[in-house]
Amino acid sequence: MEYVLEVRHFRKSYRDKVAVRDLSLSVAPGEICGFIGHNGAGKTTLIRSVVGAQPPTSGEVRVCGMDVWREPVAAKRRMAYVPDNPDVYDFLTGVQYLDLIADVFGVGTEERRRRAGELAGRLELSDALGDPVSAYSHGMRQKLVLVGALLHDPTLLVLDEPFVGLDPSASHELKAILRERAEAGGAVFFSSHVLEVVERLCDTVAVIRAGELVASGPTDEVRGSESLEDVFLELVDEKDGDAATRRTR
Amino acid sequence: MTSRSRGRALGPLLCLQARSLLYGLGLRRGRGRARLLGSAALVALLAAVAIAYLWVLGSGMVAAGAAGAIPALAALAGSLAAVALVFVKAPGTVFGCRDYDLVAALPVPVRTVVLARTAPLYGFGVALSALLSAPLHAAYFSSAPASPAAVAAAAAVSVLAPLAPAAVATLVSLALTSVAVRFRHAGAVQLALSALAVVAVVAGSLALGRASSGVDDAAALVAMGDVAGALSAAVASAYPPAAWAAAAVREGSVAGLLAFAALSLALPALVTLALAARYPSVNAAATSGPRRCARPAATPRGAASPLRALTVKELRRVGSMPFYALNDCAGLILMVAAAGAIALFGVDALLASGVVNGVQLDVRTVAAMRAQVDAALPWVFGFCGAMSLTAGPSVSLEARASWLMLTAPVGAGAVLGSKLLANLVLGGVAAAVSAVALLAGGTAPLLVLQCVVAAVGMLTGFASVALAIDASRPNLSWTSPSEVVKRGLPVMVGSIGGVLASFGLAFLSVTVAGALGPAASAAVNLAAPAACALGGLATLRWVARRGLPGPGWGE
Repeated sequence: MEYVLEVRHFRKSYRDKVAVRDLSLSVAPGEICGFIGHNGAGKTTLIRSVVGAQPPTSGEVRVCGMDVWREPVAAKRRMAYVPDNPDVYDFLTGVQYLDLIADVFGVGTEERRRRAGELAGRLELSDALGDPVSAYSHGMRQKLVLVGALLHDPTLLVLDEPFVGLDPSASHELKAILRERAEAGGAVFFSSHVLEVVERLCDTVAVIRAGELVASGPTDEVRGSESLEDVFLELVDEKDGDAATRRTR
Repeated sequence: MTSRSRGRALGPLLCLQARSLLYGLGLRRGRGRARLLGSAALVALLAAVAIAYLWVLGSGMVAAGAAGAIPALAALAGSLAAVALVFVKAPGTVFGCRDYDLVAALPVPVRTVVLARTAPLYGFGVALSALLSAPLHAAYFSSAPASPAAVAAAAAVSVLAPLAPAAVATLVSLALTSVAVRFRHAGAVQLALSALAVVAVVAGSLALGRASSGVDDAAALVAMGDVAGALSAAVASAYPPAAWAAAAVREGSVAGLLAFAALSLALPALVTLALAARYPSVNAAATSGPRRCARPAATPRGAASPLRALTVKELRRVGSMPFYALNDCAGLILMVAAAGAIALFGVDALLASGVVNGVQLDVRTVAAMRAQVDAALPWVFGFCGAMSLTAGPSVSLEARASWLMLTAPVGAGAVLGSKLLANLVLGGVAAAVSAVALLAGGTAPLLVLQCVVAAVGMLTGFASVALAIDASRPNLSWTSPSEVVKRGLPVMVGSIGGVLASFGLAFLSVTVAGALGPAASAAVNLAAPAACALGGLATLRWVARRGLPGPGWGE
């Protein structure tokens, strides 16, 4: 089976400090995978390496079978990234930003018009696209980055805390969009602290603690008869990883 | 809250400002001491130059019999320096601050917060004023009796002079910022006005130089004295406090000193109180974005190549940041202005007037130096090209949006190439306009070709080197664009290297022209910039092969 995202023996260290050690996980087509862990556990470190923003110290990251660090352009063409802070160019208008992203990802004129119109409409951003990004609120920037990320119809969508700053209706719409992408054969990998959303939305979950993967697998299996919150608190409080290892697929 | 507790709160807030300054200078976690020492050395050098210049100016005024105008000029110099400082630093420091919510939520009186923000500005203004007025007062007292009272009055005036203008400038700056943030094209307007101002200053200097050429030294001194007297009278009528300060220093007027001191202390206090009373609305006015207006829904345009899209993005950045554009395109404005002056007046006439080099040469001498002049002329354009490096800080300017380029499906070569290409588009336009002006003015086509090659070659070479340095060691965590646009290593190395190389190659070309003839110097003028460009491009290519920079790069 070819996974959309495959991370093998990933390790990232900053000088003497090891941020993530020997982490392996995979996300299959049609799956939504939630990546959870406490602050500083290494979630953003892994995500940044997955999207090609930061090289791993060792290990391998493959997207649609392509090594992100050996074939970066081809791999990046198949995925999209929504960071935790939606910082984009203040000097562009919303539509200029979308044009830039569409040009960089090679999206044709008709396709970009259709998709930008549809996505901006769903996220209630259409009226603001002509305004400069500097006039946008945090939530509007988040929506703009989401529209930009979906313009080229990526196979893998990687999101870091995507629900932070979104209003309830946009949050609801985003959940629907993520589910649609999975049903269309794509894959979604996102980090979140909102465990209720992860529990309801994700087909699989991966739990990271202090740079180590302590659990991963189908949400129902990892959760068992407890709530995901209870399992998460139990996992991050454990001194050794034995119990957690049992949960890892 | 008691005044004692207010004082306790002021200390940490001032300390925060000092830490922010040190962070801006690159001192982080004990690192960056060398950079801090370098900055201190540069400040000391600039201070020495300013002191020497003002001493010469003061001495000239004494020699011209205009010593009486010096005290008012000293007060004016300190005031103007403080006003300039306030216009640059008040937005973002006093109002429109990123950390407004944080400090507003502190259990500290708003007045203390405002005081902590304005006090450093006033402090720097006082230091600047003391620095600029000391040599002028020294020159003044070299011709006037230096009684203890007069010296004390001069010292007091030096310290007090910037306070009232800085206070007024704070309000004016607030008003301008509040208007500018609501106007979507404020950056472009500011850029156009600033460019016009630069051209006006250059044209004014040339016109003044031409008007005074051919006048002997004694007549020039008399004219200078007249100008100084008229200036003093104008300052006194336009800004009466300068006249009060001058009366305090010249005539020992106690009333003048008291009036000047009262105004200088009262205005900052009033402005601080006024800002504190309306601080939330002041910040809201200075930070709100452009007004959103109802317009038809914007739709994406037609597709373009990634390189073109990225280049347009870079050009939009230049157009949206007047500070960036003016610092890194000043050479291009100078290039066009120089070409225009040559087209209008001719190189021979400009050299003969003494406007350019301060030395008057007669027409026969200029004609005898024809080969050397033609050999050196292209390097005027090379010099202008080498100091116009918009690409230099462009990787650092990506800052928090750097994730976009790091995750885009384009190679590092395309990203860095677009930054260089945007720089070349600007330089190419300036070089083309200059070439047309030179040709229209009757300059020989081969010489025009050398000028264009020198400008574009030096720009390409040194922009590539600066971009390569920035790509290797980007500063993505700057707090003010000036950290990377003015003080960044890439721009400093690129610009200073380019300027020194231009002087060196101009010297080489002139020497070759003298020794081997004009054909050899033309060859130097065509080959050297091309070699410079190729060298720079090779350096950039080597860096681009390593990949795009970002946090974690090079670990």
